[in-house]
Amino acid sequence: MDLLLDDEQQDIRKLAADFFLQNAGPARAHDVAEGGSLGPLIRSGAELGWFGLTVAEERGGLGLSPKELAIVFREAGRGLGPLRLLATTIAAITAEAAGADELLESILAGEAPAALSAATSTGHLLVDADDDTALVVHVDGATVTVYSGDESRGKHTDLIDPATPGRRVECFGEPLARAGADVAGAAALAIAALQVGIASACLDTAVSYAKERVAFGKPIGSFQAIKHRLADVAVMLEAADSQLFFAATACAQDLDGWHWEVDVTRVLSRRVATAATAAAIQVHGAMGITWEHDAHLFLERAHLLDHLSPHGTELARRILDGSAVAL
Amino acid sequence: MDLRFEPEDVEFREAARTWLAANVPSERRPEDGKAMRDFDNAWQRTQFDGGWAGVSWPTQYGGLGLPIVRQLIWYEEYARAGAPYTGSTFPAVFYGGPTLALRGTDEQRSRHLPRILRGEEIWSQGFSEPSAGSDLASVRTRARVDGDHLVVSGQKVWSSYADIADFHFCLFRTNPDAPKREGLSWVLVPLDTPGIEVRRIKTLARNHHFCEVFYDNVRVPLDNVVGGVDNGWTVAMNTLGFERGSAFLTEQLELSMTLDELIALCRARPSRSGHGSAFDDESVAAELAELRASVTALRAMSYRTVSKSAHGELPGPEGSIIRLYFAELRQQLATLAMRVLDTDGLEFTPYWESGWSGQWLWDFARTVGAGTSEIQRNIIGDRFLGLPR
Repeated sequence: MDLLLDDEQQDIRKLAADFFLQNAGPARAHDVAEGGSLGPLIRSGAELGWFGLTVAEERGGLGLSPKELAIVFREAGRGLGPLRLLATTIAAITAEAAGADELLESILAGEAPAALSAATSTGHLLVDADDDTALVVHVDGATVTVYSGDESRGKHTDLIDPATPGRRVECFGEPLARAGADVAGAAALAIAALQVGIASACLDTAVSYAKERVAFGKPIGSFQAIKHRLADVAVMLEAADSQLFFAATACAQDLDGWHWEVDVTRVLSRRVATAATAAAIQVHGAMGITWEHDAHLFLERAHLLDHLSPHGTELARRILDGSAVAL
Repeated sequence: MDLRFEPEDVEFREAARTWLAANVPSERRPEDGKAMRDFDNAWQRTQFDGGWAGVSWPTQYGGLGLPIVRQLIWYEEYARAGAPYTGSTFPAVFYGGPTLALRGTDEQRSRHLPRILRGEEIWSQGFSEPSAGSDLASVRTRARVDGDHLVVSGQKVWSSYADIADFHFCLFRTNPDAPKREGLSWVLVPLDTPGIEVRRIKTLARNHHFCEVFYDNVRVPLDNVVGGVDNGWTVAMNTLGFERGSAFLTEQLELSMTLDELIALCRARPSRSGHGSAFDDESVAAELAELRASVTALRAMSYRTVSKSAHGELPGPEGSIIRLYFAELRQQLATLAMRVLDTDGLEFTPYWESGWSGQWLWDFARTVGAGTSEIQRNIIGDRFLGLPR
């Protein structure tokens, strides 16, 4: 038993962190929020094999495990990586599970960027969708379906997360591949990892600002009102982060109950993302509520992720009905 | 990252489970006095005779000398088997003894560690004073060197089990002229030494868990100083690291079982709306799911901490993280139980008879003992996040 990252996993973490620093990050997210394009992200992601992270090597993937999936998406959260990376990765896992070889090939080649759907009271929102969107990934309970996206582009709409282009649609295109609970679980794991990453980036930013910013002749981080709020976030982060890697490892080793451990991770990752993004804004004072500051981008991204399936009552009931991995 | 245990670990777990199933006492643990002391000592002795005491303690002092992961497995099985609360053996077994193992002389270790494991010595902690709690370094109880003895005068407070303990491990001021943290000594005092008076304190939960201990010119051999005269602060930091950093081993599963009881309570109680049980109430279900998630994370946090120890790290500020997290969580759990119980929670039911209202009251002590939650947040802010003091 060992819950720490090994040397190879540390290398993957650094590689992912560098990738998101260069290809994403708050500055790029601000560009997108102002209507700019994402640039060649999908192509460079495909070249590095990001979409096939957990796809078997003989099918063109990197053949890594859900542990590395969690590591990479945690960094994607830290670096505000666009959500089409998540959608496209889940589309690839679904295509692999469904044996849809041609679809898988085009996804891995970076030719089929995907968007995630979120059900609303009147239809569906497509998350991180634009004119290039080729696929829609829809998670419903324990089923994940990939639809063709080109017939159902819908109308542009501004999402609460300004760095994520959105569309409103009434129906999806043709179903191309469908998979079950294992893929839905992997998707939930990746979402949790994004939330943990967001929380960890916000805590880091808030801590460094609290060390620099001086008021009443002292760095504000020396005041307990600030220190204790950040300590509370650190505690929540330790809980969510530990559970994230516990669940990812349980998933990688296919232990009975790993889906439940992922559901639990969603609750904890949501909690810390909510607390950390709010704390980061508050600690930055009035700067934190400006459009030009990065803090709101993390808040809005976290809020959006929180509403991807499963969430709310569905998630609560799943947790109360299920049971943990027994060791 | 790997959640699989080695085959020898799995064997150890199975052997522990089998032994515990056959040996866990069936009678309720007495909450107080000599009956409690006798019970706790007898159960410690049973564990020693069964070959399970001091899993990670050195073999030359009666321990099993096994890796920390076995300690984790042992306490997981211990809690799963519903074995008795460690009670009055806790201060010596979980943090006083480990401090001695780390900082004591060979002579001190041989004198005490085997007796602790055999259930022959109960220890009580004497750090806090009336005017030194969170600000521990301002302890005033004076210990003056006189030949080969210390002569101690002053007062300690919040000493758990001091009324039935054999030894009091204390932080005394040996040099009043040195800076606050440099004039302290960590001393193990036999509680039957003339000049010591112990008085019990009744708490809001109606137990007598804590005592005040008065010292009036008490002569303690210099041999009982651990880590050197005037060098007690760093020893005390080790003690607190063990206290905050190892108790979680039993707590995670205990808390999980308490949550099972709370869920059973919610299923048995009518909902406020009058339809179905409290468990069917969406707001109660949402809170229960949050609590289940929080309790579950404690296992992952413990595993991560044990992984760090296995890689050679001493307990650090992570202990404060788990301590704070656990204390607040216990309070949330009891608060929900009291909400669900509504007016039925108005009757006092002692926690030692598994009553919720007494438990709710006693859980107010959780965010004070072993360092207040505020002190834990200071430690996390200063040492874990590196915020300025």
